[in-house]
Amino acid sequence: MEKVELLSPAGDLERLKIACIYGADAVYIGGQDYSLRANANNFSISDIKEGCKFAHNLGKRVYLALNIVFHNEDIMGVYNYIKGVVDSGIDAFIVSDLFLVRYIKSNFKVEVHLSTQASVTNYLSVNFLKEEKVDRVVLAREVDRDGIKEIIEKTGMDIEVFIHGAMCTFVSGRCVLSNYFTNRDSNRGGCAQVCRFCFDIDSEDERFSMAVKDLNMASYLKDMIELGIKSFKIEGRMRSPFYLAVVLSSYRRLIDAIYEDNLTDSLLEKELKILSRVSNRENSTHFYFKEANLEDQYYTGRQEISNQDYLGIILEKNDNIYTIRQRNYFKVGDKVEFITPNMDIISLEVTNLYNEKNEPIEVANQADAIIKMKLDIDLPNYSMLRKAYLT
Amino acid sequence: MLLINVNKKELDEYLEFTNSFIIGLENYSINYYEVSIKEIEEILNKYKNIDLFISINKNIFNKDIKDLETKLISLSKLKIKGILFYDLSILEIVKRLNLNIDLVIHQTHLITNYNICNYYQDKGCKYAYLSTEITKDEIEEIEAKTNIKLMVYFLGHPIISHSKRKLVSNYYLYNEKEDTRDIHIIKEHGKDDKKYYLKETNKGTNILTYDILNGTKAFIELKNKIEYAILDNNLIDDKLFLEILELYKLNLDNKLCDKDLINKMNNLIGTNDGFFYLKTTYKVK
Repeated sequence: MEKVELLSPAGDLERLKIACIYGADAVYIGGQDYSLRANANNFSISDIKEGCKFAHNLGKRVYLALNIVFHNEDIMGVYNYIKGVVDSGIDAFIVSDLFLVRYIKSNFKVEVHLSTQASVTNYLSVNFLKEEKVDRVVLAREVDRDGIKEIIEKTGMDIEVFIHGAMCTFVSGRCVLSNYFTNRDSNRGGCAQVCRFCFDIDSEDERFSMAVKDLNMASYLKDMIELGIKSFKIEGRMRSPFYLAVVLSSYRRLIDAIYEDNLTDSLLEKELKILSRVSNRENSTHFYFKEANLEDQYYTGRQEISNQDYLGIILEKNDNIYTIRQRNYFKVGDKVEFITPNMDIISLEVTNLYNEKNEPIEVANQADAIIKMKLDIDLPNYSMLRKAYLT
Repeated sequence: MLLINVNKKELDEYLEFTNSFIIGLENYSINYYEVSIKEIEEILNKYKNIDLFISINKNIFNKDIKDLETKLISLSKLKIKGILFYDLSILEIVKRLNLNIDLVIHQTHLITNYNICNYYQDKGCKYAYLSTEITKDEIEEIEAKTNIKLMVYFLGHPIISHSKRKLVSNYYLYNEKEDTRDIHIIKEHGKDDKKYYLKETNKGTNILTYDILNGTKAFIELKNKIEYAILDNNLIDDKLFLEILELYKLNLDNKLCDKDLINKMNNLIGTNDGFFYLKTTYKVK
């Protein structure tokens, strides 16, 4: 049985590498133009080349989002750009404008995936796209379980669905709130998340929110695998390396356990705790089992909770001295956990800290500062340090 | 030619200005006045010489398909002018059943360039209903580079977002309050500049502009390059709308000069010209 793909976002080259080594089977990235996250760092052509080489060496795939809704002025440059990206080794393009499907399939031997921005919701539309030689469809988030099942049964198309992360309040492609509120083009990567703003309704005294909770399908992966879904997509090209590492390794452990037939309640409970901790919003299954209802929405403005668990990432090791790029405050004496690309979680107490000049320090309190730790354990690069909460 | 998005079945008062109308199909339209197939038949029987477009612009789900096929077959037997569609399934049904229906690609915010217009023309569409978020210059370039017939929305309260969620009733349920209004007005908290309409229907929640879009200047510059100029009656007072129609008709009949039409319209409904002369940005770095 072919294993479902775990598909991760990657906002830059470092995140791509982290996604690949923390359990993603494939990553989706944006170039410096034409993707719906115009304000992520995004990838230059040379980054794409390096990212593809890194991923392919690990047997992973890389997809490039070319999913803006094109205006005339965007068209001329895109053809050369596509060629450059294909030459860099990309495995698939994610597009929403259908003229690009025809162009790419006529000129290159590369997959084309249709973006959720096209809001595909039924099997006839999928059949239409199949005839257009689309290789995979990312379904609209509004399609429920039975809808997904029927689409797969009636089309045989490779289907990708979101399993985790932020949700749009409005139907993708049917929202231009940003255009009107901020003059930023929602469908060309400028989404300002206006749906998460706080509003007054009808009078000054009434607050209104249309923000929705995040998606978390961790408890239902087995059911989703049995439907025949080809790819599980994690949302969030703007998310931090730590978030990616934690979320991907949780889903990796759950998916592997399902295929190895050893998923237990205690494993699921532990992973749900990890996923809940790293998220900054409450979560729900939204449209999967039912019409989204009042439980899926927020009513009192923005609800994000700041998370300061992420303490740093290991950049290199010399003998038993680890160089770490620090993120949040911690100090000697704190209990911490290392999570590793091997899926290990190692707990320990911080007994020493040094600054970049190898001088002893008591506290690490500067975001992005380079610090060092002497440890008698073997940890691979890109291992992450976080506050202890599992032990 | 003027194409009126109507909010009722009685069209008599509009007939002196145009004979082209859009109306929604019951259960299948978002932000259109909806009528049944039977009512469409009645309208066509009552008004023999009108061109009636039917908007089927909701997202279609598997459970809708069987009924939708039946509806499309019925519509193909009526003398409608065409169907405005959003969902690709409609293109697929019309092709598979070989239905004799003229199609208008109407993907609200997504028809923004000449290549996509050409694509849908190749797929058999006769008309493209352009996005309200592109500029007049972009429309001119589309016209120059495609042969598909163009529809452009110049006046009304354009829809700016649609959710399948019942955002308003959820809000009232959560707050244990009774919702006593058909339509609400929202604005960003702490900012007084812009208001928007918020309306929930049985298909979800829509947000519309509060200020009327007045694309009259763009209409003047584009009227000879497009097939239909859409004027939307939705949420506009009937008397005011008739006044607007009269001014546009006078201009088309060369009885009111362009400058006077613009001035009179600005006085009547304000100067919100949307994105006709305003380019959006999308990189903020």
